[in-house]
Amino acid sequence: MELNLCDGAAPIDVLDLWTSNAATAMDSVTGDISFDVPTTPVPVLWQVNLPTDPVLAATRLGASENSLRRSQQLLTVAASRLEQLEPLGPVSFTAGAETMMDLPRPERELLALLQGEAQPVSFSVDDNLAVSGLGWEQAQQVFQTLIDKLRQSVAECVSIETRIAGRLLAHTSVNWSGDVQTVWPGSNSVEEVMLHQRTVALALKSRETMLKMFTATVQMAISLSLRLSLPGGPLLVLPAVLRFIKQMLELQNSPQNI
Amino acid sequence: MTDIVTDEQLVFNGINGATGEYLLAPMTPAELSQEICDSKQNKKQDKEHLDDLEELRKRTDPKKFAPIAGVDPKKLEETGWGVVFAKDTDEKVKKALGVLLEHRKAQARNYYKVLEYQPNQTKQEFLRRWGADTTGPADPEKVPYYLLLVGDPQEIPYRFQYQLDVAYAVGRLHFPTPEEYAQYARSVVAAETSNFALPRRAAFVGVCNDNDRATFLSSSQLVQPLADYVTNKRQNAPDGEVSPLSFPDWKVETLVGNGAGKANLQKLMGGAQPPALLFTASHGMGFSDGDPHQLSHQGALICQDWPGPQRRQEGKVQREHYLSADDITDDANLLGLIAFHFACYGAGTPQLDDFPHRTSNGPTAIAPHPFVARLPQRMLGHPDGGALAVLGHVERAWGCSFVSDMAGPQLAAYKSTLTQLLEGYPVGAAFEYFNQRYSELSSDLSERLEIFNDPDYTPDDHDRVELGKRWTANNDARSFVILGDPAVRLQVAAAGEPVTERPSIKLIMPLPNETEPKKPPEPEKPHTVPDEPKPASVRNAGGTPPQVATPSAPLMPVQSPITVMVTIGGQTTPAVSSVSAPAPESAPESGEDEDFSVAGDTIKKVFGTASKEASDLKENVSTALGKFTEDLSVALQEFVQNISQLEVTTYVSDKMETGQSKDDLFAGAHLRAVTRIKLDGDTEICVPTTEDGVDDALWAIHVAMVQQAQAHRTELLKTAVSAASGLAQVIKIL
Repeated sequence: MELNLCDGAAPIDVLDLWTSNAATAMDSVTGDISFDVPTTPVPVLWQVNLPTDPVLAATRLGASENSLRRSQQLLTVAASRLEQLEPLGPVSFTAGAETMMDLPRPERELLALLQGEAQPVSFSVDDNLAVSGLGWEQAQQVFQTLIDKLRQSVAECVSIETRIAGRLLAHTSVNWSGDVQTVWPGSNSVEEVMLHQRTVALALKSRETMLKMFTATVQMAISLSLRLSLPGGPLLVLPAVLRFIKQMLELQNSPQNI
Repeated sequence: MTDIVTDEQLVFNGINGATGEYLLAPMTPAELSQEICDSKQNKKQDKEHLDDLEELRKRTDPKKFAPIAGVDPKKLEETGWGVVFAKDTDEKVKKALGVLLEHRKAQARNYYKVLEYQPNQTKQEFLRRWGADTTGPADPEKVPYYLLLVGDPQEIPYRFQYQLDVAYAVGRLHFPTPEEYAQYARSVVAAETSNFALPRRAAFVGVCNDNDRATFLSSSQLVQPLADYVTNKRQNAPDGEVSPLSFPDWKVETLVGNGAGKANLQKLMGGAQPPALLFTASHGMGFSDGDPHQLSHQGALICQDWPGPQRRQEGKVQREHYLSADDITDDANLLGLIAFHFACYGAGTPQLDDFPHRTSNGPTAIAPHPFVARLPQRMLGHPDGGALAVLGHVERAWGCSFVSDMAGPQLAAYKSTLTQLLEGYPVGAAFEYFNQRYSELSSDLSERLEIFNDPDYTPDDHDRVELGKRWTANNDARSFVILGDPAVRLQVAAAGEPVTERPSIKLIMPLPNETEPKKPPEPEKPHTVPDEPKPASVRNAGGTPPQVATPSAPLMPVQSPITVMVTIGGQTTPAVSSVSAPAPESAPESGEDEDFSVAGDTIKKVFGTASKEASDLKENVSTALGKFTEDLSVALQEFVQNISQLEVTTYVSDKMETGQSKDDLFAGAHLRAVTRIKLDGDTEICVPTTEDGVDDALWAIHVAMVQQAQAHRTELLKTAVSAASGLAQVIKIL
């Protein structure tokens, strides 16, 4: 499986940073849901293709690094916001839609999801995400995406490649326990070396961030299920919480919300 | 920093860092004018300068300070852009600036030029050499309007910069190292090419030290009025009046007096989000000629923390009283910042005293050589993203820069420059108002000197006072300079448009050949890897590593782990307790089918077993978690099994092609370096060599990969254990 650094137009992953060239559940929120986890995780190739202009290349990597940093920071913010979340009953939800509308979109949709109310009218006023059965499908897909990525990321080896306008610059292989093998071309500039080192750092940090996202999701799900006394415990809250985080991430990365 | 103009005496600003006293003893204007008139050196040295003044006198129309008619100063393709290298500029410096030169070349097109300054050239000689008119506005057909001088003021004198700046938009770059040139070039190009858009935020900082009239005036009559000007609070204006020049979409932070402490200033220049525009007024640090701190700290900004002149008997100004280059931390990101430091020596220092020459034998040396202040150098060449330009003063800055004893505040040049900066003009064009002011002052001085040179004229005390003031104001006005590319401009988001976070453009490794090669310490010799050694060859037959070398770059010690057992999904997995796992939450006691009520709001049951969808969902999630648990468990076991050693290998291949499999890539590659770090800290290293010895370049790459691997492993272990703990909690609850 190849993961490519997102260039803005392609489908996005749980971090809003990488795209995949393989059509899997993790890359689509509209396709059929598949929980058919492959028995053997597919080795992952993290691939970054950069422009030839070294400054533009460095700038692009810098933007991705910033995006990843923001994702890590967002996990703390998400936990804080979830702690403040109070449930709203069916009456207030339907008759008092104004109250629900006052909430930020991620909170709104999380509450609606947990309350099991399909009230598309209430939420179709200002956004395109109708709260319906699709909400759970999306939540499951986001969750499946993360789990798939995590399974792949703890595979025996991950590979990381930097390309400049398609030309292979360097290849690094990192096993789970941290051993590193790198192959460089016979000659390379210092700038190219730096670019690949930053690519390696970006890929490995992405893997760490996904693990942290999983851990944070578990913690938040446990906390929320206890606080709201949700049946089924945290297990079934996991996808909803993860979708909540994902929505916050999307909003954060949306230019108009910066 | 400044002087205070009074009828009685000129009180000069600028604080001697070694003594805490004013840099120049107060004197009356009459004394000053006497020195001016008596100084033979003045007359000799400034003959050419006075000729310039005569020319300037004819050009008081501000339009004449722009490029020739029909050229828009905002368009580099019309104004042109040129770089002026000092003779014999190091090729490394030129190469370091390459990305900026290419960028400007693309913008200025046919009007891009690379010029060279010959030692001791005057402005006229320089322009003549390059075919330009020696007077009049800049004609891009001959010499571009925007000119970047590259070199220290020994190579390209400040005096040349002052002269050239009158008709051209001139900036200067000088750094001690090629890395800083490279970083500045990257900063400018990154800011101008990556949809970079800072918030419209400006900060005005006015220090007002106790019992110090200089900073009292600069804070109250310069900083505060300028901040008010931008925030549209016109002084003496009726309530509700709106200035035609308003910038309502700019957020202005004003720090005057107690707010102008070092901590706040450091935040502005090192915090998470420095402003786009920063204006400061304060004393500047000065030191005696030859003082060991002069080159590094002269021009540093004295902050509110300094107790003031009345307590100068306490001795030298303490480090915590001023902000120097040392206080701009490596993690600061100043990308996009344009700063204006009104302070003595804020931009630089000439070798000779530009102001009243204290003896008739010639000007006094105030520094071993002229130099650019280290603080703006640090800001511009910052390793994590540099400022675009720093405007400041060479030599002492004087109060007459902004206040007249007869006419009060004189802020038109400041306001006009600020206005044009906020309107998006390049800094060199916006700064022309200072040149205009210099022109006017020069015109006045020129007239006055003509009168004084008339042998039939006998000046009285009043005349002498006036001459002293005008001389001072003239020299003060000419000494404002731009450090950085004069074509840069504020990179801010348009009103209503989204802003962009400052990207990091950090150089991870130094440029080649700029640092000492990393060689293993003596007496141990590195084990060489002449040709594809087998990893096993690192050790000798006896199993001891006699040829082990320690890399000069510090390697993180591997901490001895304490093994603990984490049980996940029935499997017991050893993990490492040196990592703090999140505190487990208590598991709920509730069953799946129970009804629930929270805060009086009934939440509809969706997870009950009666729901087929919920049942499927639960099964799916459970299955996915179970698989991940198994994977993570295996991975952690592998981690623990291999934790005793970290191995980093570096290969070189001549046949790297797109589409090759990983196995093919490594199969065709030559092993060039291996590092193994054992749990007990023992390190085995094979280092690359060439015919000349250690291959420094490859060695540096390898060491960097080792460091990266160590840091990653530590962080991954923490994260994985946390994830395992999270899984354990969920499974416990189930």
